[in-house]
Amino acid sequence: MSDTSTFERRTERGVLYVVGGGALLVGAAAVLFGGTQLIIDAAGGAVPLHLEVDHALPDGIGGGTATLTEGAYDSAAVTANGLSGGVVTLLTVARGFGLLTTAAVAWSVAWLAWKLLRGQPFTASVGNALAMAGGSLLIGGLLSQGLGGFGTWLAIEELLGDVTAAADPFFPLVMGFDPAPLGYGLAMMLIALAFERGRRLQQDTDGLV
Amino acid sequence: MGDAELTGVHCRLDELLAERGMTLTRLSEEVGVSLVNLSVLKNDRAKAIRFSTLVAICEALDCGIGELLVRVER
Repeated sequence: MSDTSTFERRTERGVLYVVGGGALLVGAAAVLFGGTQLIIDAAGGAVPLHLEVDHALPDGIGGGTATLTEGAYDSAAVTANGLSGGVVTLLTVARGFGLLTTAAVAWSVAWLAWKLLRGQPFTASVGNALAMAGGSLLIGGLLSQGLGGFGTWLAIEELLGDVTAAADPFFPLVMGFDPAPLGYGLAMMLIALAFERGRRLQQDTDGLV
Repeated sequence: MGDAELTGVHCRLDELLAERGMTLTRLSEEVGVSLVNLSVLKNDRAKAIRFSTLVAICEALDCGIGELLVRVER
């Protein structure tokens, strides 16, 4: 075997170990730290929220050689306390779906890296893992954003009262939607289909001389 | 049930090699098919064979396809 191919194989294995190990760490961190924080927040009633705002920057920012010509706040990270049980549950479930989605995708990536390291990428388990990750991104992305957005609306109502009556509420009732997780989910399901096709092709050539 | 009974095809590579006094290693060198693949074929563990492999073996052994592969009852 030439030095180049040995170098390529070692590099490939190194990359797979890093990607697989990193994915495992991300998944474990999501479940352990994210899950623990979720339980602590839910038990204590303190819920972190990212609320949209649209306010100008305060005057007098600066002092350096460059100047700000325009700017505005577009979001605020707040922690709300005293929200009703239903809203806390809704927001907790939404965050939970987000964590589960992260864990599912991380586990799938780690499993794929492991199977590639063992030279068996075209197996049913890899196709299933990728399909599960794609499905998780689709369903988890929808549920997490949908429930989270609705829960945030309810939280704003409980924080500010009837914001619809106010002319310019500090936290307006808007719901952002990020289509990226759905796109990634669909892409992952396509990759799962490609792996399934590869598995069938490998099955066809099994025992071929 | 043996492997040949499973596929319904028996490969007579062993017998043809013996008749010609040729080794599997020599055949492997002549036809450019790995020793592992030829062993698979010889022991009736192959499930399929490429036309190119089939023709190369038949040329090297100077035999017909029907002499190399025969049907067996399943």
